[in-house]
Order: sequence, then structure tokens, then C-alpha cells
Amino acid sequence: MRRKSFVGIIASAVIFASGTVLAHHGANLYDTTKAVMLKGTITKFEWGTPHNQIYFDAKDAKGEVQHWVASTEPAPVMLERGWTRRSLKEGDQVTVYIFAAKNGATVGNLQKIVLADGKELTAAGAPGEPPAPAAR
Amino acid sequence: MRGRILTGALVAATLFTAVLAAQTQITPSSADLAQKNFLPIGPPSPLPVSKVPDLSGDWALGLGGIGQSLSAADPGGRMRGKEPDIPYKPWALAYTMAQVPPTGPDAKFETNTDPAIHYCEPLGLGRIYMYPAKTKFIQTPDAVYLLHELGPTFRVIWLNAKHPEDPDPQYWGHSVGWYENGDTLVIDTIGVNDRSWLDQLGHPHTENLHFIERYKRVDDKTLQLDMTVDDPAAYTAPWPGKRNFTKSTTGFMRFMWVCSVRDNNEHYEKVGAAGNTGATTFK
Repeated sequence: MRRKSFVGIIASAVIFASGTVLAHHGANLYDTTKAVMLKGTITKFEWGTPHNQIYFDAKDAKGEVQHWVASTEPAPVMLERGWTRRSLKEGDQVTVYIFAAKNGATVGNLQKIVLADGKELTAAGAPGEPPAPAAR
Repeated sequence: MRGRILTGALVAATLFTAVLAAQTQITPSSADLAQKNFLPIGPPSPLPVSKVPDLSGDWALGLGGIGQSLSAADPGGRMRGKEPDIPYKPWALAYTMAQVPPTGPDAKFETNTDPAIHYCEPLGLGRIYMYPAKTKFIQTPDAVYLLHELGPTFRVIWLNAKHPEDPDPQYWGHSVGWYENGDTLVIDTIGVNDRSWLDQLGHPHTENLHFIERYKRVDDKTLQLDMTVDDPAAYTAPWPGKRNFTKSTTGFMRFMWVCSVRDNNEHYEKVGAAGNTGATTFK
């Protein structure tokens, strides 16, 4: 709860759940009705199957660093979205939009990531298409 | 009088037990397995006269909406067990509802019963197209080879051929194919083992499965797939599935989509376990 008050809840108009989200393993663990926005620093990027893992640090309301892990679809699918294994590197300053775990754990499904130069990398929905309506 | 009541009660109890057993049975009976397929098996005779359609390209399933179910009426998997187009036999319905899918609206990854995730066995007919991975067709005069970057795995579709009389049941079965209308490849498959699910939701099939695929080249960038499940041991009528492919420019097999039990377990420990309340039982 404390975390949520700090990071802010992005209105569901920004990013909606898509069919892809439901394809993620464990998607039922996450709140897919709204994306949470987090500003942080990349600590590790694991590129592969069955899913990629993006590790990043973001501060909570008390200024304490929280370690987050965001999951994406597997590498061959992210290639279709324009990602590569070089898309993120340790130290990158990023804004992360994530469907976070319902139980407050610092894990979730990535929806979108914005790099310091403004470049956006999408992780949900079909590339170039508007966000899909809420899936459930 | 008392004896009659007792006998009646015993009969009622026996009937109740039998009904309960029938409801909870999740495997086909010998009577189910003895039933004949609904549709003709194998190529028509004579084979249709058709030019050979060009199926070249790296065919991808759409991102963001590939679906969870083979059901044409419910590709998203939101009506599991109540799909209007799946004519379940009672055991097949009971089997489906007894499964815990790894993805989709009813997913519980930590307790999933998915054979593909736990054992990394071939995904099998139908289910291979529940993932946004690419497929390639290699067309030769004698056979069409379907290459799937998911697995990765491949199938052989024999042209100008018939099924063997009693094929050994295997993951991909025995497939024969032919061309129709100048734009369609038809694949007819039997001899499949019963280990795979038809989709992400756990829809079962038996060794009696007769699976028909029709790949139609709609235009330069689109391939339409119509599937038919003909398994009289599990379903009371044939039922349909659909998928559309579009051409990808990313490159086939640029990243091999391997199934690894180790990677599946590690992914769960890294991400899913923390979001799961209570003890994890995935392993």
C-alpha cells in the first residue's frame, strides 16, 4: 500500500490488460486492471525463454531502494516487438510501467519501459496498435 | 417391507455411486475408444487437381491476441468447460476441468498440471499454435516439412501417400497432405499418442484423434488455418479451431524457443514465486 501511494497508480486509460498478459505464466498473480509506474535503474537484463527478466531498483516512499523483477514475453517474441538483448543494460535510467503482484511483492509483468532518451519499448499488445480493451 | 426398503436404498446408493464415478471419470472407457471417427480419414481418391500454392515465408501468429483455447468460439479461454462449439463427452469435460492451466484466465502457474511445462514434451497438434512463435513450410514434391521454431521441432507431411493401416502412436502422429483450389494445403493426421493437450486449457484427445488442418494462402501476407478435431472417444462430434498467420520479417529461428525444465523452474523462482501467497508447489 505504501509502495502504491509513492509510485502512483496510472489510470487504466494508459495501459490496459491485453490477451498477451494472460499468456504470461502466473498472470493471475498480478493486478492487470492498472499499471504501476516506477522510476528506477536497471541492474540486470536476462534475455531468453520462457520469459525475459528485467531487474531494476526503485525507491519507495521512505527513500529505501526496492529490488524489482519484471517479466516479459520470451526473447523470440520480443524480437518481433523490436527489442534485442542490447535493449537494456545495467545502469540505464528507466521509467517502468508494470502490472504488479497483488500481494505487494516487488515483481510483475512489464507493460512498457521508457528509456532516458524518451525511447519507448512496448511489452504488451500488438506493435503499432492501440492498447486492447481490458481483458477481464 | 423393511427388506424392500433396504434393497431400494442399496440400489439407490449403487446408482448414485455409479453416477458419481461416471462424473469423475477422467479417462475414456473402452466403449469410447471403440467408436469410429466421424469424418473420412486420409486423402480423397482421386486427389484434387491443384496447382501448388507458394507457402514460403516466416509465418508468425499475431502478437497480443493469439488465444488460449483451440475453440473457435472461445479462443481467449474465458468459457473453459462451457464452450458452445466443444461437444465434450463427460470424461473429457471432467478431465479438462480437473486440469490447472499454466496460462489464461484460469491459470495457476504454481500448481499447473501442464505436461509441456513439467516435462517439456512436444506441444502437439493444435497447441503448437497457441504461442506467438513462427512456422516455416518447406515444400518438396514428396513431402511438406513444417518447421516450428517453438520446441524447436518439425513435422513431415507426406504427399501422394496414404496412412499406414495401424500406425504407432507418436507425438505428431502420421500426416498425409494434398493441395486444393490452388491456394490450400490440407493435412490429415492420425496415429497420435494421447500425451499432449490440444491447447493451453487442457482439452484432451485420445489415440483415436483424427486432426485435419487446412492452410489457405489468403494473400501475400496472410495464411489462414482451419483445424478440425475429430476424436469420437473424447467428443460427440467434430469441432473447429482457427488461427491466422502473418509474415514476419524478424527472421526464422533468430532465437530458438527451447523448452527447458530448468529455465521454467528458474523463471518461476525469480518472478512468480514472490507474487504467490503461501507455499509454492510448482516443483
